[in-house]
Amino acid sequence: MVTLYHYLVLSALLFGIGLYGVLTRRNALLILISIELLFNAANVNFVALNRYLYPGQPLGQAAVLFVIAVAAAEAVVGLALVLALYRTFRTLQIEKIDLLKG
Amino acid sequence: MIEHAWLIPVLPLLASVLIVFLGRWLLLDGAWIGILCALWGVVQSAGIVIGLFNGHGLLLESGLTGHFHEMSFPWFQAGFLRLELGCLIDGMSALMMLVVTAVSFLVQVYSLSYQRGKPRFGRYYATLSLFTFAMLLLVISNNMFQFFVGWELVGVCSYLLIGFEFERDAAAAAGRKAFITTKIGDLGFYVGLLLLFSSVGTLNIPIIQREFVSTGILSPELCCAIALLLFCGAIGKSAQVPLHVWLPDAMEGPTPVSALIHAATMVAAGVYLVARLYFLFAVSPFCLTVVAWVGALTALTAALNALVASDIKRVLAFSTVSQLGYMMLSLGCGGYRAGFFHLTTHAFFKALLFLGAGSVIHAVHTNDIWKMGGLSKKMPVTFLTFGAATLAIIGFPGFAGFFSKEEILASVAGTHQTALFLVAAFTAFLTAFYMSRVFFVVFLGDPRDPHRFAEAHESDWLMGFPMVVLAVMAVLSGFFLTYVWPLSRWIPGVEGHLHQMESLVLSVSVGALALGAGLAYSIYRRSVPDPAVLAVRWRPLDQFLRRRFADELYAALIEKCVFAPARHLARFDEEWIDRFVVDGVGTVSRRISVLKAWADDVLVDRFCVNGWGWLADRCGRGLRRLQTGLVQFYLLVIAFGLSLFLLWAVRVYG
Repeated sequence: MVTLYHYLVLSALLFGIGLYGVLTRRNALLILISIELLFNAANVNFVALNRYLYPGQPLGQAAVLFVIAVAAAEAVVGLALVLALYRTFRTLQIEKIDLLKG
Repeated sequence: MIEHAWLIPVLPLLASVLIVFLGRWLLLDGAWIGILCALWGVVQSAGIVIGLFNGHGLLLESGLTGHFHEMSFPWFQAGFLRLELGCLIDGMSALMMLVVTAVSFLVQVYSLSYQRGKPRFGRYYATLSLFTFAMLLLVISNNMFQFFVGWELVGVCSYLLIGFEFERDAAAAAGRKAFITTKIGDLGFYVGLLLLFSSVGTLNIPIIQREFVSTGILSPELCCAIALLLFCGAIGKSAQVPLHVWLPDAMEGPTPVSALIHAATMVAAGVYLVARLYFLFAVSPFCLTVVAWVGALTALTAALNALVASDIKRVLAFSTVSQLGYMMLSLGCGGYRAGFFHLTTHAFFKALLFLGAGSVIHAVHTNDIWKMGGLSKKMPVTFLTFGAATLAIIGFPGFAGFFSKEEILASVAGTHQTALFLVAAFTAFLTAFYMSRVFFVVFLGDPRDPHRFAEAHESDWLMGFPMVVLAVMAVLSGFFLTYVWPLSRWIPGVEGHLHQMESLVLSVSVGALALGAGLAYSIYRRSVPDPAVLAVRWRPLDQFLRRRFADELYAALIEKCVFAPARHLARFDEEWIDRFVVDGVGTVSRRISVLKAWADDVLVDRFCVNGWGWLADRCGRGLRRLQTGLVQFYLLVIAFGLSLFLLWAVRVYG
């Protein structure tokens, strides 16, 4: 029997893996991919909670659709930034990009 | 004509304003405006005088000096103080206006030539017009406040004109002296005015006379006090003892100004005041006695001073003081009309004397009569007119002064005060002597300064014309106002016992004249003695006559009461205030500021100001390490912080 908690644990795992990726990857592209994991962790949460707490109401599913759309837009902006970074620094190694160092 | 009497004073005011503001763009600096306005005043006041004399029912109300015509409008009202601007036309004010405007007109014409090419020509004419306005304002006024305004304006104008040539220190000092001296008298005038107002609540002259004085509501004692206080003002303005000291010094002004001041505007104001408020003075015999004795003393002392003066204008100035004393003496003896009569005739012949003196000074460029002599050959017009004026002032039968002086003597004789009469007769003798002396020394004999004599010349017609007109007045006005248009028909006065004294008065008057003139003739006509030799021979007498006791007294008084304490105070100031207080405060504050400078440097600057800067610098150095520029580091911090927050939230709310 799959309960709400299974979904929540899955979501937490996804979030943790995504956060780990965002904080540790050195390549900007991989950071973007890890951010996708974070989005999807949230999406799993939305649908699961909608299904178990308010069955018959489509609000959580609508939110997920919205998040997917935003994620697509984010991907566009993120890739554009990555492109711009590469053109400027000739590298995507994120620790080399520290112009704002105090 | 009489309805528009207000035009007479207003036009000179207008002229003065126009000359001040527009004069520089006008012909002759606008002098002609002043002359035309004065001429208009002459014509209109002559019209009023003629109308009054023919008595076409112009004077509707009757009161203080016979009938009068009054008009006024309220000026302003504050509480129960109501002030008005108004005209009071009766025989006295109408005649006075004629005298003032006529003399002013002639003086202004004369000045066209006399002041030509002198600096501040326009300003001179503006002040003359203002002077005329001020005098007319007080002459015409129906209330004491307006009178006071005119009175003070007269004082200001005299200051401006006496000190007109203020580049010379003597002129500036004389202006100040005139102003301050008359101001001392004005203080009494002002107090009297306040007393009058506080006791009757109005300043309207006819009302005061009709409702308060003649009904006896105002007690005689109060009347006397008010009258004497007001008389203080008259003492100052009309140069009576003890405030007569300014008039001889007023000679520093331009000569035509002297003519105006001595004849029509300034000094006449005091006599006019007493004549105008005669009802107030007449209430108390004591008051009249004071006026009479002040006048007698003035007449005598000034005449004595005039005996030895060698400056032609100064002789005339002393003679003015003396004649004013005469008028006061007459007023004090009940010769109210006689005093006013003499004021009128004196205005003409004294103006003429000054204009003649001006003409002489213009010709020989000196005031010293001992440097003149024999001028009759060179200056026939001046000689004849000056001669007429001299005959008028010494009271030669038929000339103006004869009639008025005789009336004065008669009124003095009428009081049966022998001392006063003797003073008056003796003064008449002295007047005859010193005026003849000046006349003989200046015009007859041989020229004493050939160089000046050679350069002397008759003045032009602009100066000659006013002198001729005034000469006619000086000859005829006395006869005219006695027989043709007797003054008694306009100005009621006490008649009575005057006639029984006539022979005595006549013989005394002619006797004094003959004696004085004869003595002067015998001394000065043939061979003029050297004044220096005379002064040595008659040393005590000469020195006595030259002394001006009042001036010396004031000098001593001011030295004792003002300068000496001032010197002591100055020393106190220097030695105590300056050294201890001022320097002490300086030293102490210097010390304190050294201390404060140290505190500022060390405590404030070093610790506070620099300390905070240093602290901020240190903090900044530490904190900049946090800003790595690495996005992942920031994210880590955010994630760490957020999870801490979540843990706390779960602990609290979960």
